[in-house]
Amino acid sequence: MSDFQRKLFQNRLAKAEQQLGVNISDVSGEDGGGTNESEDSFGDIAPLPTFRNRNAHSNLKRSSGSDDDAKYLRSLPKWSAFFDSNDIYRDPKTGYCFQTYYSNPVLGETLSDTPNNPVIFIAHHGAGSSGLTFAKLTESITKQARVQGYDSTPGLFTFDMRGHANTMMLNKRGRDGLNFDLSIDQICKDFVFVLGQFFNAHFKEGEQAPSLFLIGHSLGGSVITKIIYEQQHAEDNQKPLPKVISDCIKGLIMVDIVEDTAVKALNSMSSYLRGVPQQFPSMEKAVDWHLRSGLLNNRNSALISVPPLMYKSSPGGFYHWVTDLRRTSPYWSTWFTGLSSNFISITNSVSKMLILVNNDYLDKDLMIGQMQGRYQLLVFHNSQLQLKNTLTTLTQTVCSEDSDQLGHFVHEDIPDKVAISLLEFVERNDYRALSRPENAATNSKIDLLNKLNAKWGVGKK
Amino acid sequence: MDLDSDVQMEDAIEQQDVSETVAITNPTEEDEDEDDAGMSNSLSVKQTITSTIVGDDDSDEKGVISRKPIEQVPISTTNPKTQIDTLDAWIEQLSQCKPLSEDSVKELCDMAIDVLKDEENVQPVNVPVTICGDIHGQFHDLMELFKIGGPCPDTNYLFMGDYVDRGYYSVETVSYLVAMKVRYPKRITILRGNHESRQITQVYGFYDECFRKYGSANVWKMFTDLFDYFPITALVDNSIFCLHGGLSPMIETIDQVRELNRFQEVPHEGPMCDLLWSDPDDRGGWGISPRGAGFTFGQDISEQFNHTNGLSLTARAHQLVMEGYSWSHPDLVVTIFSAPNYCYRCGNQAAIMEVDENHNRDFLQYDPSIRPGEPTVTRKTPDYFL
Repeated sequence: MSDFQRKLFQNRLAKAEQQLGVNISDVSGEDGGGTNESEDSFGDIAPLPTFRNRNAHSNLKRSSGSDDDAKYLRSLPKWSAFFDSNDIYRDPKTGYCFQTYYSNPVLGETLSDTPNNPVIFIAHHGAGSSGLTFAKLTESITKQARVQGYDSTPGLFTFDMRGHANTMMLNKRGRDGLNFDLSIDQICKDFVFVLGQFFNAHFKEGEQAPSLFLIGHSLGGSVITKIIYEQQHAEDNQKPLPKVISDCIKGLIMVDIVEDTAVKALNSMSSYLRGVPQQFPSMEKAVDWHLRSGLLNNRNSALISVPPLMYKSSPGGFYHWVTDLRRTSPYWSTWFTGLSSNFISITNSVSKMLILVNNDYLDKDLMIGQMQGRYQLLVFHNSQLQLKNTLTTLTQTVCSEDSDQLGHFVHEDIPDKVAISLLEFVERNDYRALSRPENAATNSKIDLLNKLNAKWGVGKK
Repeated sequence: MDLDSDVQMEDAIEQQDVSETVAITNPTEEDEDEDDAGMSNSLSVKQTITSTIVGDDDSDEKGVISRKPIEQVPISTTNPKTQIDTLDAWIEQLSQCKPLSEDSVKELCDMAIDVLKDEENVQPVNVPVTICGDIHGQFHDLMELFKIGGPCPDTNYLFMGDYVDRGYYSVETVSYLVAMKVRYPKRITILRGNHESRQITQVYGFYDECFRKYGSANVWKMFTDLFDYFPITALVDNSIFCLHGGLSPMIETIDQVRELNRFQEVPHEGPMCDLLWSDPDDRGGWGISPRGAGFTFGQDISEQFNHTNGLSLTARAHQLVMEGYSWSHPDLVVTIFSAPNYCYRCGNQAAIMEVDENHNRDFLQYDPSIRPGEPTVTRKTPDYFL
């Protein structure tokens, strides 16, 4: 199937989803979606939703629950409420397929001759999560770009990593073995592949290059840090990314990950996973568990981010985890090694921010780096006074869906505040790409710097 | 993953204080009840705290944490003789790393405001003087500093900010330095650092330490209100410009610093922010600071600033340097950092800079003080790292 055909089909699928009121892409199929193995089959696009077959083999004991569950599933938000497209990228070498999500950037009108370049966040989720963990953040970035008076709206691209969520389901038939190759090197290769596909699909040579800001939550932070570090420090022929892409990468944001802490946490991972429920009778119970356990604190986000983590093994049966994290344990020791020193060693051509939650603990490398001013540290704190359900901006008070409780998934708990921080980070560090015309006497931060340097009669060397 | 493992003790205890914290600081807010239950149910904060006290100083530690009422010398601020006696008694108490009572802190801060409000934005300082950088609540290392540099008031001192946050004894450290300032106003100068701020101290420990040691945020409020009065720069013998961070593109002359209104919270941007946040850099010109506040400035900027203002040197703190001091541009700017083994894990030396009557400079380096009673806190590792 050509890319064009594929897109056409996906568009139709999306429309059909809307008409049917179902969320095919988000709800994982009970049997891997009934995909057949011919490459490029429609079955690869998305698995069937669980509830469609519920009557076929209805289990008496659970049938009324199943009806409730189907109703609940229909009430859930769809991916298309947050993103513009959900292309699938297939690795030609192995046939492995990745589920992606993309919300387009919107360029504003500019008075200057050179238009702004589009800003796109490239987001990598952590272990056990999915690309839709960034759904609410995407929405908040769009909303806050407008509310805060920015001249354009950044886009956000994300995907389900290997062995997770829809990517897992897409490959369950025939390529299931590949789902569990979760060494850090393989995950990095996957990211390079997906980013390359995305870039080539959306940006042509000679056109305005985008400004890319990489966001990684938890394990995702380790992945993007490793790639950028190697990009900067490896021999030319060993660099993971082509220059045309790496030149566009302006920033790196790690969300709630510190190497020292993560490595120590590995010791208790197995016992933690043993304590996690292995199945849920309904999707609602699965969502509730995520909220009750404190893993997530924002129900509106959980409604979109939890469903892709669950699947049914039999109609009317229980929901199970798409990703059995216990099976990833052989790779844990590779996931975080060298993270902090790599992060610190990334040079200033890529601006860096570390977002932490409820805790400002830094390991030795990160502490030295912070005290030398090598990156921006942002700590969101439960006790901070500004954690309210409204946000006061320069001009107005706006409603926020932010939770007043924070946890590890801070971008889900307080998407508005995280979005504002990301926009300010972009504005500050990639002045050409995003600015607030009415807030500055200058068009952009680079204008300001140029004027300051001219005033002092000095120039950047 | 969760980041709660192996943090300092105050972080651990702070988790239990969250509901109180919110209630006190935000009394009108509804929905307070979720905090305690929410926190204790939360996987991310479930933890076991094991406090191991090394040595025989545990009464001090426990006393601090249990908010034992602190005995205090009564004060009469009207009688100068009594005032000095009282200050001396406070200094004696603080030198044993025992915090003052809340009432005494109130008295102390009122007296300090009287002294500091008349100091200048560019406080003149004479030689000889010993110039010091960040302390960050490392009280025992501050005592070591006075041993290395000589006792105050026999030696004149200039501190360039960042007394609080991150270390275990921010309350004792800042109380001691402020008490010394009030007792010997001409012998010691204390500038403001970027951590002497309401916003920063809420994140990096001072707020929580005050809450833990006094049971309320009152002392935090007294000190952070006092910080607004701290001078932001000093000028040693019209030759060495001293400040916490660095230069600002809005400030070309020292006179422009004198025109600033410094009596406010440290702003997010603008010249006062820059003076407390900027860093020197190898790159020329002005640059965006990776910190998220202030600017970076190159050698060309330092040359111009020092030349315009007839300076021999800009001395500043703010950045951790492994040897305790470090030259930039190449000898126009010096960074001084006075917290050895910063935050009990960075492995750096500390240093202070002596400037004598003839403007000779001498750096004294020192390592962490060895003391009993350093709390060693082991914590349960977090439940998940996903």
